Amino acid sequence: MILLGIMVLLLAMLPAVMKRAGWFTILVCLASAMSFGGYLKHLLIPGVTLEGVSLPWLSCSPLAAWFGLIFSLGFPIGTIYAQAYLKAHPTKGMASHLIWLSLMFISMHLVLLSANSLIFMLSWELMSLSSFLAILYDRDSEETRSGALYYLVTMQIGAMVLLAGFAFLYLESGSFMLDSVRIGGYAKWLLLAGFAFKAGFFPLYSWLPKAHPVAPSHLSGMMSGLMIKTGIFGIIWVMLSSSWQAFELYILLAISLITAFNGVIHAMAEGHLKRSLAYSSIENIGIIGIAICFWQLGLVLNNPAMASLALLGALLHCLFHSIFKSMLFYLSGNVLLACHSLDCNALGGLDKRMSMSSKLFLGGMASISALPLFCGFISELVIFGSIILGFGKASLAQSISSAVAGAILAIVSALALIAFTKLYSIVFGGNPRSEAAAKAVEPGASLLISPMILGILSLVFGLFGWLPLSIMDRLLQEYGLTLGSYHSLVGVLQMVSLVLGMLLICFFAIYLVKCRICKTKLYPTWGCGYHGTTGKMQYTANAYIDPLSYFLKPLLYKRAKLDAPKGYFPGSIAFEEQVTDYLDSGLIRSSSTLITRFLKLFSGIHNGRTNSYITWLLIALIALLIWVLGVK
Amino acid sequence: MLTNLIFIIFLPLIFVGLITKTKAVWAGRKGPSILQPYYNFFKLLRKSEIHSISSGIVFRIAPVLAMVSVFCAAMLVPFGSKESLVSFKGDFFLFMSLLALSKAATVIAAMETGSSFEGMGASREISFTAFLEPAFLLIIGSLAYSVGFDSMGSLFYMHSVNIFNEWSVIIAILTAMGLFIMMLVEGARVPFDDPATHLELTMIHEVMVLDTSGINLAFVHYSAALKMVIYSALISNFLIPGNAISIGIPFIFIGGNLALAILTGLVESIIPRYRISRNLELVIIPLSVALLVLTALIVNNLGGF
Repeated sequence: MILLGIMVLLLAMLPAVMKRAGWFTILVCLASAMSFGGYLKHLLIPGVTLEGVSLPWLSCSPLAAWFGLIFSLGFPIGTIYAQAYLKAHPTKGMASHLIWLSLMFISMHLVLLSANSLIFMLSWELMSLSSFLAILYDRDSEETRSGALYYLVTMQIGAMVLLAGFAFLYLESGSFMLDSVRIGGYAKWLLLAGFAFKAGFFPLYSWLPKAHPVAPSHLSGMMSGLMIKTGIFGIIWVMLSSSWQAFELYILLAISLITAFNGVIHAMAEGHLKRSLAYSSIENIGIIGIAICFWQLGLVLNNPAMASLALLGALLHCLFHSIFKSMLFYLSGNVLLACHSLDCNALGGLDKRMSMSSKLFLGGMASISALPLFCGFISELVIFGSIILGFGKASLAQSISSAVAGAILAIVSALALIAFTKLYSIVFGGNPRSEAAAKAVEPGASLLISPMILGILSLVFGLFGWLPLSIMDRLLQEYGLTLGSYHSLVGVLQMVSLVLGMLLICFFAIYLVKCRICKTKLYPTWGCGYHGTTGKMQYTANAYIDPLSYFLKPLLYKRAKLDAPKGYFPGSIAFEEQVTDYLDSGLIRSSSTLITRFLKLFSGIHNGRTNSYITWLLIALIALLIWVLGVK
Repeated sequence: MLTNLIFIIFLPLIFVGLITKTKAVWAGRKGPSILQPYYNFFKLLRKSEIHSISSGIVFRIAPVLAMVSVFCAAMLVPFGSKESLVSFKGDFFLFMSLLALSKAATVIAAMETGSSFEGMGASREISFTAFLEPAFLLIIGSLAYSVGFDSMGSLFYMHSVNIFNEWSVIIAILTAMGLFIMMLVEGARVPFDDPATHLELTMIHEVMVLDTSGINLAFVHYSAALKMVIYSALISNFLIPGNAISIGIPFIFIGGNLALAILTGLVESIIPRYRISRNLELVIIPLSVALLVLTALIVNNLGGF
């Protein structure tokens, strides 16, 4: 069924060429339904071959099946949104954009299925290239082109590292086959680094905040929710097929913690809606990384309960992140269409103008900041559970690392709460801060279908968190984890549902009774004795996070420009503040300048004269001749 | 079970009344009755509400949502009996998140009014979470260090004070200290915040509810008081000896709570308010205390000094 689904995706290119977005959507939905069924079969029934035929270079492991399920869920929802978004924001590149989208979907399925390193690299590159071309939908804007190029270059460097890793793997094992291979030595580190580029681990994440804001919103949603998960898939695969020492895992844990913390402080400080969401993806990748490290630590330290909870937490977080992050990106697309701006400080008051989008954003915000009732809470509960299981008398090092990881994860989730309460209340709450925001209207029902489906999914998984566990049961068994803790976990999640159900019942009972007995009047906000307040007097995004950003000053580099009032009757006053990423402005820019300078040394060679090229060729030949003779 | 519910419903406002009374007595005044918060509560219930025209959906639901979620968090804590109403392994995280939910609802409601004063309060209030959540998690993790992963109620119960074991006293005192400071921060009390201040610029919790009125305001007051009582209940649970007869537990519990209320009143009377800009630095104290708890437990486990 999976391969049939991929065939249908290929077929979907036909309506794409003819600019029939509706048919394209229908075919993608059909293909995803087929592949969903196929992946589910692979997850539940052991030993099933693809389509009943055994292909040497394609196979589907339970891990791939889990990620395949996530993708098959995300693609149709993303495509439904894409269709509406492309209609609302048409450019010349629509037909080619749809083709790149379908190529991206196909290559993402192939990345999961390939059992051969050559096929893997091919589909990996196809995925990077097609998504790069798809980002270029809005190709007239300079910002889009530079962001997309940045993405391409980063992905190529990552692919180079991966290629080196696979080369070492080939030298070790003497075969290109990937299933049941043992990875050791250099290969495992290189492969990890290559996948970390895609996933966005520190310090390789810099493409996310550049590429996501310039991509069309459906694509940023799918890239952030789904595509970076291929990196996580790769990392889990490397972890499965190699063996680790405890100290190596502590190093990886430290990197994951830095990733999460660094991501969230930038998500908090960033005033651009989509860039903030991109940084929050980095944070979530960090959280998944922490869970992966605890899973391996549990195996190394012989603590299977911790290992199984951590792996479960990592996989669940992949699913849930794909739900709420895509949803938030789609909704930010709605904001962009309505206001033509994503700068928080130019928005505001949208909850009265875009009522449905704002309610959905509220759900997404609650989900991503791990508030109960929504799905983000469930996966963080499982991850925190595994961290607490690490406390114990068995290993002092593990207790200390649990303490550090737990405390940092708690800080990270608190900061995520701050970042997203900021985004919601500045963008949707209060009064409009600009003309465009005041004139915003809800952009049509078709743009709300996908976020609504995702919102319902997020609520369902949040209230009934044990539902996905039944299909993950066998996945854990496959990787040799005991299920002793599994059944108690189901019990825990059922208790959580009980409490949350009670919460909802009490809430609605009290709220409805209150609404019935209480008379309400509407009145302007109390201005503390001051009349004539305007939207610009409200608290801004920068002011909201000021107490903390004062605290995080060494980590957040801010550039502020103040046009101070002058004289007794000041004419104008302006203040501008921009947070820049240390990594971006420091390490990457300086190293790329160095590399450019080095490469410019050779630019004289490329002078366009054929005779000089022939001379270089001759010199090279002679040099080779001398070398060969010398070696002999 | 019934004692739990009765305490959760009736204790919070008495707790606040006792704090006010203590402050009045310390200052040489007679002060309002301990039941004054009840009178205020019922007076507010009879009033109608005024909503800000800038506000949206969250402003309307926030007070009820905050109250209900704090109430659910209180169900996870033993209130005057050995067991809490609901308990399961890992309930601490649900507890933390329910408190976070109530805080998020209040903060967004404050931001929705579009008032810069309320924004100020919201920003200060939410900044505290960044340090309180890790502190709480570390305390729970430390307690799990010696007895294993369990529900919050039994983690506290297993560490109740035993006067024949000096380590249990040390751990109890340290944990109680951390929780007490968390109570002062979460309950918006002096030295972090002053509920009696009259200047909007210096308020934290009170300024967030400037536009809340009527029944909503009554709910806000109740949930702030309940939040404090949750922390004081956690501290009181340490004082209940492991071998106490079950009929005596509610009395020890209520004694502990009233003592903490008086202590809070005394703290408010003798400690001046901290400067707002220093507040956040001081909120880190529970975090360091939590680290001390963990150290004490590890040292104890390794056989003392």
